Amino acid sequence: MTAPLSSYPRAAPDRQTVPDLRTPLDARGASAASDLRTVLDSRASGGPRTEFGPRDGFAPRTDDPRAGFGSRAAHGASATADPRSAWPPAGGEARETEPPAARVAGNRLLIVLLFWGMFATSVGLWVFATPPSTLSGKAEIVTGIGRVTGMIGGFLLLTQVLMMSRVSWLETWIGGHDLIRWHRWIGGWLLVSVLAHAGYTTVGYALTSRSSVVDQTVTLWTDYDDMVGAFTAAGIMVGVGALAIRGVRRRMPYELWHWLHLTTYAILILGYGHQFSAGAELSEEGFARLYWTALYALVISCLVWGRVIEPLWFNLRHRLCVMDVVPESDSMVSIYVGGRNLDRLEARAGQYFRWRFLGARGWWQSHPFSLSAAPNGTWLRLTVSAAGRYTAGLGLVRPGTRVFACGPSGTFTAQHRVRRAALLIAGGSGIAPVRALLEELPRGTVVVYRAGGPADIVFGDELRGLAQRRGIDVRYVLGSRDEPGPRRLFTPEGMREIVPDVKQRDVYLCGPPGMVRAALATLSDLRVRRRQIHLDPFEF
Amino acid sequence: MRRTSAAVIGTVTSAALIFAAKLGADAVETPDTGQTASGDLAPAAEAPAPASKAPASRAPGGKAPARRIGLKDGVFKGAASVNQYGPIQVTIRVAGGKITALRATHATTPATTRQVNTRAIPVLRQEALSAQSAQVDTVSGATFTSGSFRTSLQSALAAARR
Repeated sequence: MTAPLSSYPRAAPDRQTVPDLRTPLDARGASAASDLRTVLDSRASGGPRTEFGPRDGFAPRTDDPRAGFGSRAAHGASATADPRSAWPPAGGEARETEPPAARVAGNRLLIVLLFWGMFATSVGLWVFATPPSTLSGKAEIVTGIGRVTGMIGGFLLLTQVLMMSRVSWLETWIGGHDLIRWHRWIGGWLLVSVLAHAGYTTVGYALTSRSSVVDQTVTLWTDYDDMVGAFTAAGIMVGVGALAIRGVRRRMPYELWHWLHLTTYAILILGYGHQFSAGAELSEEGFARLYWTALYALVISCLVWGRVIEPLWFNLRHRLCVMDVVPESDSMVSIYVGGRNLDRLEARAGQYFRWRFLGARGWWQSHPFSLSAAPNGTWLRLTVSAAGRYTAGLGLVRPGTRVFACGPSGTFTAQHRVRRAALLIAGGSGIAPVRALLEELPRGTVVVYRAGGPADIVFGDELRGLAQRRGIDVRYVLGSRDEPGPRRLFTPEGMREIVPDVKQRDVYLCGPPGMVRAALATLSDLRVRRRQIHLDPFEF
Repeated sequence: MRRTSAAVIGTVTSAALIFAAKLGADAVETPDTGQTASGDLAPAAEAPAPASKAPASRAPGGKAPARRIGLKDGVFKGAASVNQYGPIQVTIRVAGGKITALRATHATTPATTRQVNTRAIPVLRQEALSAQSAQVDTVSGATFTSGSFRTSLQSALAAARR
């Protein structure tokens, strides 16, 4: 237990030269590698490393540049003080100023409330039009179930399309991460309700007309308007639903999956007709039809707005193109993107864009990448890890390549924290949005950077610079996940050692799924509230 | 947006929508008969015409129920009888004191209602023509249509007796 956790060194404070991140790229790019090497060498030789035991872990060093700033100095904590009393972050100020999220905390709540309100209204259309007395026989009850599941399915389908419309208010209010999560979750329920609707309605009609289910199906196809389209839509939905099962989807290329998934737009069109021609609730004039038409109008206009108008407007205004491509490590590369009017770009650190590099390999694909530096009015930067064929090709993108971007998206921003202080845990390429976020977080922020080894660390010099200028505590946890340091990190004790006040902080997690799972489990053991935890946009 | 304003706006909007759905449903439950389309169900019947001023005749009919109370010759339209799936309106033609033709208009939307009605009304019509009265059995699976059919036929018969 008393073994020093040598794998948690603090940010090496030995270098005083802080590269200005906003000026010439080549100067920075050239110095980056050598700076980093110096840091790692000095760490390896035990120079600036701080070793600490589990109990007295936070003894500040006198030569630590951070010893003089912030609450620690203000509260007069001594080197031997218990960390729990010596480290109330930002002290009383935290309670005086309200956390930034107060201004945006209602956005998600509003969407959730409206979703359930409209869900209830959709079900209500059936409930209010169906007095209990009419549900007298078996046929009526079965048909009734078919009708209410039809209302639910129709509503969920519209929700599904809306969530994928990329319309900016949803992307910045909810964020891509939760939109995808909800899309997947609602997708299952949509399939269930549509199948129930088709099944119960057919059986119910067959019971009413005393015919067999097969005859009734034929009657539905031949005598009812738009019903062939509706059955086709249900068929597509079953097909896409089957492909969406995780095991199946992993086995096929993303591109194929993506194109097949686009056929779901046909569901919207094919399923539309029968709702109005055969739907008991919607076939007559009145509130129900008005409401349903309005829902369709809302979804279609958001779709057009988010998929066509906003991207066109954004790219015409900013005309982005690649300025420079800088390798950050063996496997990671930063792309600097310039353009017009970037000072008017309303993006925040931690957000992401969907990038499309025209003229590069795979130009027809758009991929989401976070900004790895806060927008500064001159350039944007994204940092990608060469994990696949496409991302490996990005290292070969030439300066001057035109870029078509959509965004910004995401709620992984400093603005969304519900406490003033923050803890950021980054793993692997997850450092990119974390690095950007540091520019907008207050002093006293702690970064835990989890990497496989010294060679995998990127932004070493930038992190050190930020640590000095902005008073940020950067801890490296190196090694494979089975080594003692990393294993200890994701235990409640290990976490509290680094961040005793973790419950008073917002936690930003970005990294490989395994790391995020481990961190979430630890945070849950520490009883950190879920709304204090922010997941990066791509960790699905 | 702050949590409180979101909670207020979301709740109020949702409640308003649900309330509007309730009001809308109540409004639909008592429709006027204007929106019903007529089905071409009774090829024997002619287009519904205003009741003609046929001379009263007490012709002895062949069938017992019809004989009990004499019917005037002519075309008589019963009052529309509304059930929750829409209105049914029966028009009869009387010749020689007997119902010789019968036609019923009914709702044709939504498709379920049309399916039920197009199946039930020919049965009801046949029954009414043979019974020469409104005493027709309920067609199973078409309880409401049968009830409205009887009511409307009754009022058409009443018009014929006047």
